[in-house]
Amino acid sequence: MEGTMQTQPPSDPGGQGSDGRVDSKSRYDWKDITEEFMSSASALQMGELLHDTNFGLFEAMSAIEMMDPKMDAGMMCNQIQRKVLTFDSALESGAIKIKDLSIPELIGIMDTSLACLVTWLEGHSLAQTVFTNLFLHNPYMIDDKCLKAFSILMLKLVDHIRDRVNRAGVFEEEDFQSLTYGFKMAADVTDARATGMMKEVEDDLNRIIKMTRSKVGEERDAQTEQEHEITNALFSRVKFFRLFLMGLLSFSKEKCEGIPQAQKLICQLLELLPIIRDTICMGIQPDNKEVGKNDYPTIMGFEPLVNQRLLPPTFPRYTVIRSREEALGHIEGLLYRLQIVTTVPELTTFHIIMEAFQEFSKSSPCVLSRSILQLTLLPVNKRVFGVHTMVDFLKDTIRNFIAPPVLSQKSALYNNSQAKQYVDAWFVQVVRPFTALVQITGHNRARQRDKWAHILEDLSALQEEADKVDACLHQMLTKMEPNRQHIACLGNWVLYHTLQAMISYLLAGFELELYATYEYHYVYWYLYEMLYSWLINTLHRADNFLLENETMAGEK
Amino acid sequence: MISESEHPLTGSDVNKNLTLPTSIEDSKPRIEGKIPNGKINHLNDENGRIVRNISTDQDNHKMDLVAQCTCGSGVQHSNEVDNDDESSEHLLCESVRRVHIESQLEDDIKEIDGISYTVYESEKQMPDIMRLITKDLSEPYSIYTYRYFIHNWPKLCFLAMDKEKCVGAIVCKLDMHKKMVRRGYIAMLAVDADYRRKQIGSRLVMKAIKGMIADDCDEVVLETEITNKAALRLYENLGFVRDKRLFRYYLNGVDALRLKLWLR
Repeated sequence: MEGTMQTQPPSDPGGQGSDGRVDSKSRYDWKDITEEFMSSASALQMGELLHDTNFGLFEAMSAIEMMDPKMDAGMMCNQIQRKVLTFDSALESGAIKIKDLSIPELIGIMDTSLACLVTWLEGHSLAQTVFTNLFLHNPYMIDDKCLKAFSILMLKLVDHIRDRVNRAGVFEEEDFQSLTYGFKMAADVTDARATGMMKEVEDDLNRIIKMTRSKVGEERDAQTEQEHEITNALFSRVKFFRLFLMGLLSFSKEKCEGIPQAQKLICQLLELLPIIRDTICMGIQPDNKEVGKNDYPTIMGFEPLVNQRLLPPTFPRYTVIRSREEALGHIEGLLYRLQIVTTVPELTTFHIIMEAFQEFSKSSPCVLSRSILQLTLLPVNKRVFGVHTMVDFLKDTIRNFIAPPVLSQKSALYNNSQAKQYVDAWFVQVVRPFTALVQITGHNRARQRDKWAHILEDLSALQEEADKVDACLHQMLTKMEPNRQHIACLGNWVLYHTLQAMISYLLAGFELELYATYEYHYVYWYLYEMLYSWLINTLHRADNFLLENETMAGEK
Repeated sequence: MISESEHPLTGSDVNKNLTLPTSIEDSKPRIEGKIPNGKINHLNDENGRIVRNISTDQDNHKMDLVAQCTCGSGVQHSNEVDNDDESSEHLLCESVRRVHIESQLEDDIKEIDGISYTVYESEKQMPDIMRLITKDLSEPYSIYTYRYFIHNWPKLCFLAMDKEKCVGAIVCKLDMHKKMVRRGYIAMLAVDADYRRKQIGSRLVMKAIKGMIADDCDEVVLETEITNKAALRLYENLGFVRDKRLFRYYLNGVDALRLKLWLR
């Protein structure tokens, strides 16, 4: 499908003509075999089924009955009374306009686009949300400066969000659908140009706002006041979308350099929200028509069924687009969550980060904020905050936790080349499961639980290796420094995380309502008697070790 | 600094080293003779098909079994001895035995309270099954879905009949899961609206599970909407446990719960 796409995917494959007109370039020679088929079929026994070797009962389960509205998604298009419009047909018929749009129209289109964006972020397909906006199918044809800039920006926004969520990889099919169905995402327009176009529109609107502002000693007439208010409403939106894209882009700057800028932009965005919220009513509203499945009333430029033929012809999903108010609520939540993300680079050790990430996850944040959180800690280059290697970062964390001699500069073991070899080889193994631990916190709450269970295997293998390394190092150390020990330093640290994973697994069961009441007491018992007491043991051991270390260092 | 005994074990090792809570110690099964030991041996009939399960071991593993049992520890485990020596059911996990309609698990349910229970016989019954299930379930299925299950596993499809009228149906399958475990799956269960709260659903599930046990099944799973309280009650009363939560599982956006019954 990708190769043959123009700006707008064909929503009219083969023609919807029901007049039976045969295409003059027809290469088919249809023959009616109904009678032969029926008489052959009558020779089958009851319950007997004729099928190809490669298409048995299992494959047949994906079959749908054509023209059954419950199963055939395409039937929706044929059932409704009105004609489904495409960008071209809508333009031709005058159903949409591409120039001289009024401000209420622009406001309505922007607010509805935002609602579609939010609905997409909640797990629905682009085809049934963002791309129901016909203007996005062919933005370069739009004459209206504001609408054109907005449409291009919308495409860039969607593209960027897709990129971030895909890279973070902390979503499943119930969280997010990234398929773009071959739509062009204005790839030839740079981010700078897109935001630049919006800035030009902002400047034009700002001039009008200044002109219509109430001046000291002068009485404004009602019309000027109206113009001022409504232009301000539009201005706020244009600025909002421009800053929103810029904000998201600043998170992806290398080495977290864009974080301060992100913080400023989020503040500005939060300031703009109330104005937008208060002026929703100024945008054009849909008529109060009947709501059907996937055919709801909407405003100029939006066609709920325009992409129906792009979707797989399976059971139709009913996508409810969020209301404009709800969408703003979601965006507000998103902005607050992103504010929290901006504080992450201040966190120092792995343990602190795990705590912070788990805390963040408790509020069931949206897939976008989760993804940006993950990418802020571990961007594409796989370095912590883009700067430190994972190994160095974890070494620091372990030093803090239990100060194993092999990692301590004061110890003779530190410079011993064989010890270094053992330890470095072990650290290579550590990276994968510990990266996974962080990523687990990025998934949705239900998926996290399964992943906690799976990682226990990796952690127990790591523990075994840690114990071996500890034993070797201990032997070596006692020869060099008879007073020092290296029993289970690394092992203790891995155990600490294993226990945390087990505890998270059990606690998740409560939240996800997986325990029957008669099971509660064994979960409580296991947590109390086993897991938490072992956890405290590991912490005590670590503390004791640190204390001993300090004493030793003091004595030297 | 750290003695071996202190070092905790992870994963499945943990169970074996724990002292069991006192309440289970006190309620040791006092059955002589056929004590469940978690290992089920089979008796094959002339055709090699597994017909009955027998056990010959006196139990040393019963504590393990009881420890792994999903019953509450406060439950008095049953002393009942089956009169039917060769019945497979009393060798199963205690939680499966402790069901409200225990007595019927022993007998083969043919007819009760005016409703007869039969296994699937022919394509003639297909429209009834489809009609019943389509009415109640939120997701649409084509006839091929029904055929896939019923043609491959006809012995796991049961109907509840009120004379000539089909008032309940259950559709299942039994397969290898990840090459390791024989897993039964209850695909669909529906009871006519006028015949609810008469234990018909439970009895259909029981028949299906008996069929699966007879075919060497290790566990049974199904998914149901988290809002479907009646289904959750039905299965949990039979010893099913909530295994997983699946967000937005169904087409209508509702979460699902995966329920699981361990048989071994």
